[in-house]
Amino acid sequence: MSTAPALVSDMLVTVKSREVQRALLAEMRGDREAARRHFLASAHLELVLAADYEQAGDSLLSFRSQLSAASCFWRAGEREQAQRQIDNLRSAHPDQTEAIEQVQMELSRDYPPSAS
Amino acid sequence: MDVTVRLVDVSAMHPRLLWDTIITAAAAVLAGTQASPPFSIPLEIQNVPGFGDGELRLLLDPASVPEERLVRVRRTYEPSRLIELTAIAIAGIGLHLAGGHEILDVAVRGSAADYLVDEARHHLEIAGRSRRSDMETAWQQKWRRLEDAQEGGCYVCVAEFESPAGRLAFAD
Repeated sequence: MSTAPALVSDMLVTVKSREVQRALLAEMRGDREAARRHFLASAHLELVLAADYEQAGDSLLSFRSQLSAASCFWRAGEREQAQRQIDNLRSAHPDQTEAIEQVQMELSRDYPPSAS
Repeated sequence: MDVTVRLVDVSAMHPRLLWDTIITAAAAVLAGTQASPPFSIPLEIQNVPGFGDGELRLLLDPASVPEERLVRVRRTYEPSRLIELTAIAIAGIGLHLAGGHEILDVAVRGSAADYLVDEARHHLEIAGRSRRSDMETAWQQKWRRLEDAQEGGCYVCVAEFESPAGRLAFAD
């Protein structure tokens, strides 16, 4: 009997969610270095999840993870990497332009360049 | 209906998320606004799947939250942040009691939501206010924001800690 492993690890999803929470809590207490560290971890985990969702045939969740990765990179202060990711998403998902623009608008408003 | 809940049990209600700081913040805020535990919060429920409409009076027991953690969380977070975190605890408890819903993930910033609920990934917006007079404004703001970005069903939970009182609603 074969037991095929799940394509998307539940544990990975949980770790990613908790890393985002740890980043948000660090932001709340003004610990910028911890926030950056946890947002970076979240961003990389989202990229792994995006690939796993794609492989599992769930394009929408893959898109959401890629968008979340961009958002986490941005909030970690890695704006160039975030912007590249957003530009790639805009090209690959023209049907999601509105969602992408909304995220970009909020990030630009809440995390302006001078804040990094 | 009165429901007694230990604050620490919220982590078993929504096991995918981290709750330690949120639970401690809730215990700190409620201990600062009410004389003694259990801390009572009436929560109005509107149109929540699996529950419908009604009111739950939450009787929150802060047992198992050590005093030194209360002191630390008060020192670490600003009062407005503590209120915000307490509202998250109220939302988590309310969602579980009203229909057994589970918060699964943190929402992407810019999606007009704070969290995603159930496998359907319904959006959840949460607001906490220290003053009763600010609750309606917060409620209207959250609904408008979610309606503008509506992609399906969504939840809003707003709580104020002067009365105290809370409201949790779902809209398709």
